[in-house]
This record gives sequence, structure tokens and C-alpha cells, in this order.
Amino acid sequence: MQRATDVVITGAAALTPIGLGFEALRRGLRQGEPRLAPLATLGDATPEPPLWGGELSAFDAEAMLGARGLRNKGRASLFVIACLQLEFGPQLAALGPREELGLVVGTAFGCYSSQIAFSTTYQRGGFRGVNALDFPNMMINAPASQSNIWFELTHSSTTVANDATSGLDALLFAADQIACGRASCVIAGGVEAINVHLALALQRGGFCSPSARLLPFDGRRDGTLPGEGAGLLVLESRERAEGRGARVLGQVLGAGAAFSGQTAFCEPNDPATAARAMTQALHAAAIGPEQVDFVAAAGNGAVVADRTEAQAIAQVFGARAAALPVVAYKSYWGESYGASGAMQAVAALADLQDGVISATCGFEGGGGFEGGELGLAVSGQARAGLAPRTVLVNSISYAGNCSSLVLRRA
Amino acid sequence: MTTDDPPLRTRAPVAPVRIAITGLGVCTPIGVGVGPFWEAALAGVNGMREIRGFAHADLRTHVGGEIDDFEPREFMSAEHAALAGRGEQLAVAAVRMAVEQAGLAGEGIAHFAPERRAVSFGSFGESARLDDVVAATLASGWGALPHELVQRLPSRIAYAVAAAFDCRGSIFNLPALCAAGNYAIGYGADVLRCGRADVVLAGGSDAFSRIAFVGFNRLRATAPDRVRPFDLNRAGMILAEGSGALVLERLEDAQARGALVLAELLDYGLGCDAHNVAIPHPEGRGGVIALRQALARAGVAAEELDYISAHGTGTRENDRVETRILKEVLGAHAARVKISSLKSMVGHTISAASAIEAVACVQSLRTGWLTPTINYETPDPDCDLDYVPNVAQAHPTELIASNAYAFGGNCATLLLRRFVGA
Repeated sequence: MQRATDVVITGAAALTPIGLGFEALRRGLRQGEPRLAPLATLGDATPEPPLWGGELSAFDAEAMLGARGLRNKGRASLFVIACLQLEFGPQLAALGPREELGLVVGTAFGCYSSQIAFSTTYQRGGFRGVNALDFPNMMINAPASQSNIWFELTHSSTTVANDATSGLDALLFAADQIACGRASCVIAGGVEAINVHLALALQRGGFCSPSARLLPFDGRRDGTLPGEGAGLLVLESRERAEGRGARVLGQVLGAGAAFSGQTAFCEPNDPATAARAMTQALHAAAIGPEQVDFVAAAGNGAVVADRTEAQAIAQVFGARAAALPVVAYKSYWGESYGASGAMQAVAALADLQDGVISATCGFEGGGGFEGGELGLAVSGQARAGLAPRTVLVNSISYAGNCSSLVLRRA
Repeated sequence: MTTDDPPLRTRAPVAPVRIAITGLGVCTPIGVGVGPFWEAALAGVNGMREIRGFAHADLRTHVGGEIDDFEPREFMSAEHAALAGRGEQLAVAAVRMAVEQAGLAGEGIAHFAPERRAVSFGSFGESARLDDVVAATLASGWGALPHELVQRLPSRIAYAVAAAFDCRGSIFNLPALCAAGNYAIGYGADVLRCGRADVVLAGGSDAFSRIAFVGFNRLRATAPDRVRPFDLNRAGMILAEGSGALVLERLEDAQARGALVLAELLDYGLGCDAHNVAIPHPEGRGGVIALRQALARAGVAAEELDYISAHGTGTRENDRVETRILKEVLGAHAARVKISSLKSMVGHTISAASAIEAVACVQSLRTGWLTPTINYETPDPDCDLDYVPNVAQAHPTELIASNAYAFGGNCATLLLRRFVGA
């Protein structure tokens, strides 16, 4: 007989352009400064003028993990391993026996640059030039699988590749596993690494800000900028967490996922789908919109997508939307696709713990309305003293998927 | 049921929810459509031939499982077929067949509100497009990089299936490579159990991939002529292409709408080797965990298994380790249970493999026939179980376990049971 299970959060880890590690992320949010710069990853493919974005420029795999075992691993795999190592390291054992720990990693592209490199090597140098071990390591399930191997986690290894909703959907998948009794403790979240081909393709597709500014919901916004990073939460049944005396940081109250039915990759223009994901999440959480204290928005500076999300928030929250605090964490680090929803969830948890709603960097409003042309309560200043308890986290993908998650602080 | 107030819950239901399989579809090198595929599988047809899709003179091996008789326009509009990659074409075709068998074709699908239709699929994406992009940039520099690249996300196939059948609920792509089909089908059942949807289109699809063929060749994992699972002289796997799809519903819902229940999806288990990205754990750690978990969750004993649909790739290590897993979990019953490898005929269709195998399992439960392991000649002392050698067997079957093991040690086992009317 299955019975009701609370899914609680007992750990948080992140690698973000504003800080490596959960505490560094928290400090970065409090400083309120974005880390966007010309992308070094692009190298000789750098366009003129340069494409900006949010990179993990301080990331040094060897310094964080030692020199052994790094060969053949793609950057996204190293991000997940380093994210777990930095936050938990030897304390991973405290989470419980490794055969009880599941791992779910969302990623839109995985080790895409390794796939490009593999194909390039073969097409340039033929069969003999190809390194056998590059093959399994370029696969999209490598970031999760390599982390299972590194930490010897045998319970399960799952990769969710749902474009920009991958990170939130990984958390939803993990919460389902716990609710269905398949697992009692799952580490779940998302990862993305910037790669040259996709960054350039996005720019050429007209998705990136020509002014090299990422200004979610602002009247001056003119596109997004690519980002990278990782965000992971330790989800656990309340029973298990209490049984091992773990500190409970928060709770996953509910999740929702919806698809628009579209076939093209384009800026989402259908607020109904995003509204449906939010409504489902609230319904699953058994709370009303009035119990949400702020929204961690998907807003990434895109002209149409941000307006669509604003309209969806207005649909769900009605008249309250104009007063409901909204924060767009992507203003700090760019659009990191499969990692983005999970990075927002980790950042929102930091805000819940600190009793602060972070600033949306660079937001000045615009359009002649208080709160901006979109009528949302976005702020360029951090808001203290509100003691937020419950947050709604959104992910909206250009492929048509929308996901939402409701988190509550402990 | 109204769509604006769906009965969603994150909490597990109080009573176990039974899951029905009501539709099947397949595209394989030995047959497109369940009928032709099943006939060929029982006849022991070998689908492996010299590769025609790309030049391969510089590679070690030259045989693969490409599908010759697939006409995408039988399953989608000419416009859609022209825009879609081959993996997407194969996926939509298999799902269309499954939807038709479930009685949900055309207006039939309207029985379920679009918001209550979910997709759970596995695919590693359209690698042929990526090869073309690399070729273009190598020839003409960065200026040749097409912005359409972003249209070919790894998740595209799951979204294309969703769009083709107007599914607007939860859409998942679970790219667990060689185990993707089982991951997708298993999670599809959870989506129903958690009340996230009322019908799930589940399965896997991959087109024949040059990148994958080169990679497996470089790993020296590919056989030169035939796949010989569990045979002493087995020389490796052979890459193929295909798709497999299932329609999943809660049993009570399927019965209420008068659908023919083809079989019951009992449960599934996951496990991870956590050992090596390309080589199985020598004792099959992840596979043991997955099979044990599936049995425990379904509340059935290992002795109740009649048949194992093996991962059975034909590589030296996989087949030895899988035999060991079965002995470890089944004990003495391992010597009695029937085991066979569909990959001996179909080849290894990667993300589609375990979805196609699930279709074959349902057919075995319905017909009482087991597909053979073809090309089996010389017994291997390390693989000394009953692999249904060379010839199909009449063997009434109640309970089947279907194994799938992937790169990265991702292991998943499905349990399927014959459905006898309620």
C-alpha cells in the first residue's frame, strides 16, 4: 500500500557565474551584480561585435577534483561532479548508503560540444583519429552517469532532456519517484555548458540581445544571452529526513508540466500553456495563488517570451499580479537552458532562507507604467522584510514545454 | 472529466493503480508494423545487411540494420515528412500504429482531453543533422553554421510526437540510450499513477546514426556479420534503427472506455552500475538492482517469471554479465526460465531497443509464442541457460521481465503480465 509522502529538501548545490557553491551563490545574489561578459568559450568563432553571456569563468576542474579521472569527460559532466563534490564532498556519505541515493540530471544539450568534436575529428581525420572513449562520454546521459560513477551511486541514474524545462522536470521526476515510493532520497537538478555551435546558432536565429544586455521584463529588453551552470537539490521523503536527523531546508509542495502543441523552436507566445503549468503546480501543492509570496520567473530578456510569461502570471494571479513580487534570476547569469529551472530553484531557496527577494539586475521598468510595461512587480532592488515563505518557480521553453514548481521554506 | 480542474496530485494514490497496454507500434529492420515484425521475428529473420546510408570503407565492420521498406508518408503528411528527421519519422509512425490499435485514431483520441495526454519517449536526437552541420562548418567556416541547428534539440522527437497527436500534458524525453525505451515506458506508468495524465504515448526511437556506428566501431564493439547473443563465438553488437511505441492507460479507464487490453504493465525497476561509462559492472550490479526492484515493487517472486526478454547485445561482456544477473536474482529458476535476444534479428536500435522488445513481450503474452535467439551455434560455458536457440517456441507465458542496459551503467527492467479479463 502506498501512502502520502512529503518531499522535503535537505541539501542544495550550485555552480553559477556569480558564485561556485550554494554559499557563494547566496553572496552573489546579495551583492546584486550580474556576471555577463563576452563569451571566452567562443574562441576564434567570436563574432563581431562579441556575443555576451554568463560563463563559469572561475571553474577549474583540476583544482576542485584533482588531476585524476578528468580525461574524456565533457564540461557538463565535470560541472555536475564538481557541484556535488564542492557542496557535499565527504559529507555525501551522511546522506545515507549510496545504494539509496538516486540521481536525476536535466540537460538540454548534455555534452554537445563533445559530440561536435567527435564528428569533427572523424570528418577531418578519419576513423583512426577518433578516440574510443570520447564516444560514451559525449552521450547526453554522461553528466548523470559519470557522476553516479564518481560517487558510486547505484540506486539509479536518470537524464531528462526537455530543453529549457529539463532542470525543473528533473526535480518533478525525482519528486514523483519519491511520491511513488521508488526512492527515498534523490539528488536532482540540471546542468548546461555553453558550446560554440549552439551559442552561435541562437545568435543567428535572432534570440540573443544585440545590445549585450539581459533585462528581463524591462521595457528596454531586446533578447536573451546564453549562460551555463548547474543547480541540484537533495530531495527526500520527510520520514527519511527526520529519521536521519537531517536539517530540512524546505519542501517541494507540487509541480506541473504542460505543452503548447507547437512544432517549431520559437519564442513562446501562448500564455495559456505557462498558466496551465502554474495552475497545476498550485493545485498539486493544494494551495491557492494567494499563498504564493513570490515568483522565480523564467524571464530571460526575450521580447515576446517575457511578455507571454507576464500575461500567464496575470491569468493565474489576477488582480494580485501587479503586487506579487517577481524575480528573474537569469538577469545574473543568462539563459542556461537545461540548468535554468534548477538554478532558479536553488536561488529561490537561498532567498527563502534569507528572507529576501533578490533584485532583478538592471530592471528599471519602462513603458510608462509603475512596475514596467508588463505590469509585474519586478524590482531592480532587493526586497527585505517580506519574509517570503512560498515561491513558484517557472521554466518556459522555446520548444513549447512549460513547467512550474512550488517550494516552501522549512 | 473537465480539463480546467484535473485531478492532479503529487501524493501517491492509496491503492496500487494497474496499468494497461492498449496499443502497439513498431518500425524495425525485419518489419514495419506489428504484424510483419512479429511474423519475421517468429520466423527468425536476420535484418542485418551491408550499410547503404553512408560510406564505410574505412571502418572495421560494414553491416547494420537499416530499414528499407519504411515510407514516412504512410504515417504523416508529405510536409511533415519533409521537415522531420528520420528519428522523428520513425517515432511518429510507431505511435500512429499504436494509437490506431488502441482505437484512438482520428477523432478517437478526443476521448482524452489534450491536456490529459502525455508523452514519455526516449531518443538521443537526430545525429545526422549534427554531422551535416559539422561538414558545413568544416568546408566553409563558421559563416556556414545554420541557425536551424536549434530546431534539432535532443528533445525534438518527444515534442514532435506530442504535436502530432495534440498531447498537451507532461512531455518527457528520457535519453537513457540503450535503456531509453524502458525508462520512458516505466515513467509513463508513473505519470498515470501520479495522476498527471490519463493516457501516455510511450516508447523510443533512433535513426541509423553514423556517429554511433563510428563510435561503436572504435570501441571494437561491433560484429562483422551477424549478432550471436550468448554464443561462444559472439563478436559484438550490430547497430540498427527503429522505433517502438505503446499506449498506456490506467486499467480501469481502459476498461471503462471498452478498449482491448493487450497486456498489463506491472512495474519497473532502475539500477546503476556506477562502475564504468562503457563497460558493464563485472557482477552486473545495476542490472541486479533493477530486476530485484521491479520484482519487489510488483510483489511477485522471481520463480513466477516465465520468460526474460534479454538485453542480449551479442557483446562478450554484456551477455556474460546478463547471464550472471539472472542467476543471481533467479537462483535455480534461472535454469528453467526461457530467455531470448530480439537483437539477434533486429540488431541494436539503441533508444528504440527496449521499446521494440516491450512490443514483442506483449505479443508473446498474447500468442503464447517466444521469439528465438538466432545465429546460436556454440554454447558458451559462461552462458549456460536456455536462450530459445534459433527456432521460435510455443510457450504459454504469464509473466515477463524485459532487461535493458545502457552506457553509463543505466539499467532498467520492465515487468509485463498477461491480461486475463477482469
